[in-house]
Amino acid sequence: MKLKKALAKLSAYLSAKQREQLEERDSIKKVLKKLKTKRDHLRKRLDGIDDKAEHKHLQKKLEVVTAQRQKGLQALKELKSAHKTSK
Amino acid sequence: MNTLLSRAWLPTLLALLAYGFWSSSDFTIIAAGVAMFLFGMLALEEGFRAFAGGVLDSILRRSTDRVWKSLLFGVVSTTLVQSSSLVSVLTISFLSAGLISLSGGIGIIFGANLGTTTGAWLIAGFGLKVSISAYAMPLMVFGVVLVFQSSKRWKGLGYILLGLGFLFLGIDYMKQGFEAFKADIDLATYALPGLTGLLVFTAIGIFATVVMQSSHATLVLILTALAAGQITYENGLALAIGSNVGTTITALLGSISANVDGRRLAGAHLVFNLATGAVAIVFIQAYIHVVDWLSVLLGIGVDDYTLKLALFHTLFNLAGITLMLPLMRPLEQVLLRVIKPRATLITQPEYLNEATISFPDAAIEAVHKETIRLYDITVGIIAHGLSIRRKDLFSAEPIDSVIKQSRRIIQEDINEKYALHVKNLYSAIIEFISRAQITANEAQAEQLHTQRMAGSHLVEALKAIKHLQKNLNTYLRSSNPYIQDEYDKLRALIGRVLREIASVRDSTDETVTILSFDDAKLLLAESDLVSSGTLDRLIREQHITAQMATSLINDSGYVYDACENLINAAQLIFAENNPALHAAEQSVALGETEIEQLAQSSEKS
Repeated sequence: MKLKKALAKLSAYLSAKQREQLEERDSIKKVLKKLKTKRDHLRKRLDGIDDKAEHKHLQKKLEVVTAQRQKGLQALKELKSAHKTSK
Repeated sequence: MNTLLSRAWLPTLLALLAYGFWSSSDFTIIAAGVAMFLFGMLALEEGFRAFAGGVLDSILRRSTDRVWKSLLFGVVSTTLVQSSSLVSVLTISFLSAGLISLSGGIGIIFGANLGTTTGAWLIAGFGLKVSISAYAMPLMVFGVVLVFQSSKRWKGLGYILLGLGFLFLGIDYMKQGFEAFKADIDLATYALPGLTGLLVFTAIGIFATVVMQSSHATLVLILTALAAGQITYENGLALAIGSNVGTTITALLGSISANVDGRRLAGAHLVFNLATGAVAIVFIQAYIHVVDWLSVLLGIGVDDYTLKLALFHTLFNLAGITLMLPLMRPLEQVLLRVIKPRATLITQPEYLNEATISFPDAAIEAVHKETIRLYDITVGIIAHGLSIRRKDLFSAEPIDSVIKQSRRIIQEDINEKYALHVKNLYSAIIEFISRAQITANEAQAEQLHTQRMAGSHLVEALKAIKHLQKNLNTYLRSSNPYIQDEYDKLRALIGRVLREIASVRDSTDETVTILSFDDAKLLLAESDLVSSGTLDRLIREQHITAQMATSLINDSGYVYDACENLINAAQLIFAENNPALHAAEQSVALGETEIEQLAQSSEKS
């Protein structure tokens, strides 16, 4: 009886953890989507700009978004592999 | 309507003063006396502030932390300087400078009332009268010499001496101005029997002390009148009661320039003297009997009115202390409730409603709105501290040209603005959060804590701008274009950061999240004056002096502090509401090392 209870508790804990991981993945995906739209938007604006200072300013913003996306993609990859191992 | 009144107030006062100066030379002297007195109070406060947190602070605190100690402090100090008015105004300035507590101050005032009665004994016993005005000139000269010293302590002492000098001189001028009225006081014309006489002579005592600015002088007047048989012994006692009440005028005058605690203390002084006076009038016959009985015990002659008057003076002030001491705490509470900070000047919270405090979600919303308001107020003060008008700072014009055009220095007193508009609001937010946390769950408490942190960052940012302001104002006027240019760059950096925050805050575009603050962080990392080599180049090419360079290094530190705190505050205030998304954004946001790497790579390119 005790063993059964302990196993039930463990399975509930694991599923809660998995649910958390899934939620985290979804949230990061949403953020990545936002960043992708922002990146495309910035690229478009960069193409049509002549002012040097403004060009430099937007270029930096693009670099930041790119770095953030890389970080987000890496986090997503890690979450996926963690999810696989927990299965 | 209020604004209209406050606008009309100053020109009306100036016009009335000008008319007074033109029509009466006595009025000119009295007004000059009041002006010097008030200036003395300001100088005293400035001086005591230099010692706040130091030895004087601890001595005063330790001397006034118990009721008996503050009473003793009042008695001893008034006995030494022989002026309860001076001790009262000094206590008001101690309180205004935050050196003592209100209850400590009230204790001193009570003690000062007893201490001042030693003057009556001195006059009665030795015919002695200590004149404080004789010290005014030397005090002012010593004060000015010390004010020019570089040490903070000496400068503070200089301001104290200068303040005392102006106080004495101001009182002396007021006395001189009122001399014209003194000649008109003929006590014999008012000699009346019974209660009417008692009340009339009390009123005369008040008037005479207000006019002569000294209860000692009134006492001498009473003794002369008694000796000449102009008044009865009872009338003399009534005059003494009146003089005790009249002496509060100096404290009331001193409280004009004081802060709210100073005004509360002046209120306590008035209440004490009025209550003591009222009791003395009601029980005058009992007092007379006790004085007669004690006189026999002490061997004072039946006709020795001088000593009997001194005894009466001591007795009724002692009775006043006995009566008022148990009421000290309730009196403090009443004063705290009745005398409030000048509401029109101080920014009050708009959203922190009592009704919302028990509903955590509503309380969080209220705190959030109030913190946004705090952010806006702080940004307004920062913009003016940088000598940029707020509307220019957030205009569509490029920030560099806004900076170039903002050459006129805005004399923003950040300390004052902080005291009036930030401190009160921030304190109210902190207090509201502490109370709201009682009913909040863990997540809600965390949200409240976040807003408190945001407020703390805003205050830190404001402090950094305050430190920057002094050199900024100096170098903005400099004829050296290089140093001017460097300070303009610092102003532009803060301007850019504030614009970045504004763009995140105002944007309806979903792609703009708190991650956009990383742009501002990169901007900050790239603007490092020392690591970019700009500073070395400027010194090497002798465009700026070493002193300018050190100022620039220190001030760029303040600018980074301000920017960092502004970004941190904005991140907390304008963060994503959804906790899961907020956590995801935070995990994607760039860290310090990643920002550094980006800054270095863009430097190379």
